[in-house]
Amino acid sequence: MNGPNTMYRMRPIIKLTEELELPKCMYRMKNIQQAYLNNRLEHQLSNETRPTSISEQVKKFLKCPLPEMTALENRQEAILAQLADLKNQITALRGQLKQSAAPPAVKETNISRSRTCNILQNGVIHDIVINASPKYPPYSLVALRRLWGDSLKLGVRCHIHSSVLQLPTNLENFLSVISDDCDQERSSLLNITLVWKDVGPDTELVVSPMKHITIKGEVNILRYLSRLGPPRYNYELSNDPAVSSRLDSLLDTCYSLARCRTVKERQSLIHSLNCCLGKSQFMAGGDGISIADIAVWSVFRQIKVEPLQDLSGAMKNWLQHCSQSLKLDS
Amino acid sequence: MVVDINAEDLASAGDHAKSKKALKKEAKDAAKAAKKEERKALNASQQQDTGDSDDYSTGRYGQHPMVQSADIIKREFVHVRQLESNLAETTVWVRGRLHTSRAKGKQCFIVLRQQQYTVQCIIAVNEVVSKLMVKFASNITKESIVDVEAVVRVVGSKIESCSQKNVELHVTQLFTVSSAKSQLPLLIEDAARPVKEDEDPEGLNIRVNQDTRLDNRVLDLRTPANQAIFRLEAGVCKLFRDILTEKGFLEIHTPKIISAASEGGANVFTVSYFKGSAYLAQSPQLYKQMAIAADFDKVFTIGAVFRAEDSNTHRHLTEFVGLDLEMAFKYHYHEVLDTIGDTFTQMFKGLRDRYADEIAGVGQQFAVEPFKFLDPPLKLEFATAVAMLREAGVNMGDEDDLSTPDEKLLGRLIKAKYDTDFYILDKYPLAVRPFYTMPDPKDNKKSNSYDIFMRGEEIMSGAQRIHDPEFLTERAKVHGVDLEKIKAYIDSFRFGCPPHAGGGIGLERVVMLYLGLDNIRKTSMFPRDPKRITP
Repeated sequence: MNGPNTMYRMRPIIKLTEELELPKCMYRMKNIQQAYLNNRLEHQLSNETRPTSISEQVKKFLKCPLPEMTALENRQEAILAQLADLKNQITALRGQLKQSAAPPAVKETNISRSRTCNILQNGVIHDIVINASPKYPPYSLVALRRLWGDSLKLGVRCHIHSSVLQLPTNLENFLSVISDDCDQERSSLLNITLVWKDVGPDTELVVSPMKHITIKGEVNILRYLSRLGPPRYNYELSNDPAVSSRLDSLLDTCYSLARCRTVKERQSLIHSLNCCLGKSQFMAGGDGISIADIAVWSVFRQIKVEPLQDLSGAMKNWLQHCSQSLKLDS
Repeated sequence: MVVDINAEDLASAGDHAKSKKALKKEAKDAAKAAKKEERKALNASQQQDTGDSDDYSTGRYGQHPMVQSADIIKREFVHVRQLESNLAETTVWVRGRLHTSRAKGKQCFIVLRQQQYTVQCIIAVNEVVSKLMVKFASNITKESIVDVEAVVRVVGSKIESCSQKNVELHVTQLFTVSSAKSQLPLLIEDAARPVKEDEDPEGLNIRVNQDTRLDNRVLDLRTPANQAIFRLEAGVCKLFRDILTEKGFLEIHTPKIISAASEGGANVFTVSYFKGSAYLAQSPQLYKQMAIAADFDKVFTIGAVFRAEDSNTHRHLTEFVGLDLEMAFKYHYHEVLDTIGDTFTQMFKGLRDRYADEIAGVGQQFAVEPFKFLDPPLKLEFATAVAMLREAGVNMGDEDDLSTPDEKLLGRLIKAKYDTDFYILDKYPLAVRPFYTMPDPKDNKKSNSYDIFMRGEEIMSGAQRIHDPEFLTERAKVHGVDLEKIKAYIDSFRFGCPPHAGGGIGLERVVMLYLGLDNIRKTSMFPRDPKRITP
């Protein structure tokens, strides 16, 4: 009933013979129009008996509904009824257990999971490579792994690049924490290949050499990862832009701190961090640990800050809080 | 008139053209002969000169009689490599080749070479050295072997053209032990000239092409780069042996004359064997596996492997040295893969730490990037590699094998991302592997097989082998392999065989890729390819 048959019917101008003589010197191909031609032939044959007017056909169609349609309708009804029944059951259960709506945290995790899954399956990220110097171990990676926990599993594998002759022994603790419960099958959602390479304080992150440029600096890597990670910990998604920008500037301070050369410079940067913290428990102000805390904590460990000499009282407390909530000794 | 004369001239010229040419040739030959005579006479006179009474250097220079082990001379020789400023003002004996010589009035500069080390010598007229001795020195042909007694002197400014930059030798005695022909098919200097990307149009750009080198391999091998290449090759072999022996492997030797083709029948050499014919082994695989079935647990073998492939590429030889290993494992073939990966990493570390001089020596002639690797080695799944290639715009199916350009591209992608020249691809599609490869238990399209790459070129292809005779028969049927031909192979598993896996590498190819050279003929001392079986 569709296609050219709903138009005016014309008598064929040329009568095609049933069998066409095709040359046989070439490869034989299936006639792509054969099916269509066959259809037409059938129609031509059947049309003589059919009512030709379209309106008549439509009327006929409306009068007697197709059996398939009715069957489909019935099925839909049945499914809807089942769904309603299920909903009733659940409300009844909820009433019994006296629970409100589902906890929001779970929802969030689900979203993040599906989102990261998408990223991974689209083939954009197979594996993130982080090049780090043994002199500046990316402690933030360890912290991030603890922070995210099960909401986004980080699988980290460590390699030593040939330009590094030997890993310093103080990294053993780092290595054991970063690669624990990292099973062979890589069930984790985000795979990170950590390569020890002499890159100085410019820790590098490579996702795809074809499409991305290398991200340099540990705090920039943290920014990148926080966008990938669970939205709960993404500081840019917080409702207050002022908070986001304050954290950004904190991250920049960490960046400079890792590269500062003189003691004076270092002290002034630590002092500004002290001021940022003020009296609050965490850098972001709230009672939860954030990316900024991780960045500061990591850079303090890299430059080997002496808590007793360099830090204020609030800062020392903060350092303890961090280590406690990350379950890592500083 | 004028025209006439010209015509006559032309005619006569035409008449005598041939004879004139012949005459010219004769004259040239005569001149050559005369020169030869002259040279002979000169040599003779030189020989006589030694006998001249007014030459006070008599007995301090000349042709050493052919060494026939007539008498034992106790003489301490110093290697050119050891000539440093700590030997200053001592008298030493050195035996080396005359690399270059340059006479200048009353003195003659000689560069003496011993293997890849060179030192500058100076022969100047003084109380002990006569003018005739200087003349004798300047007439010694290049590449002749000479014995030199000299005093080591520290120089003021460094000698940049020699490997021993801080000292020079002041010659007091000079004897030729074995003289070279005056005309050399190639000059060591030319053969050792650094290959640079940006050619200097002003500079001297004499190149020796590959075929000339291979035709005169003995001379070519004397270049510092070649000396280093083959020292490094020996290093690879030694490290392979040492590392595996330490891991509890046993070295075995497998037969090279075999009755049937081990891997397919196409590319084997047939040799006559008494009344019948036999084949040259194209892989020791079958024998390695039999050694496993015979309870040797972990074995490796180093030996010649023959491939009758008519491929004239930069990376194929018809005879090469195969380094093969096979190992029984307990439950997962990754036990073997990790062992192989670790062997390579240790080998690369050993080369990096112990063969730095050789690598630098090769680098002086062929500027290449140093080899980079990760420890532990990077291991990717085949599917990941395919995804990376697709991202780069390569169209390929999940079960396709990698083509050579794809392999190269993948090598570049992985280098860009992970900065490593060495990596392992795991879980190849079953369809592209031989019938004896164990399929993956979780996904019947994959197999327990792996390829190992260096600089984007495959160096090892290995897998877990099927050790169950029934399953092996079944797989052979699927692949359409004639069961009659592989009966012996299948039968070797009938008496119980531990699960095992392994693989093999070609020594020349590994050295070529490690050094980043462009042709496998550079890393084979006397290469064999479809077009060359001499020297």
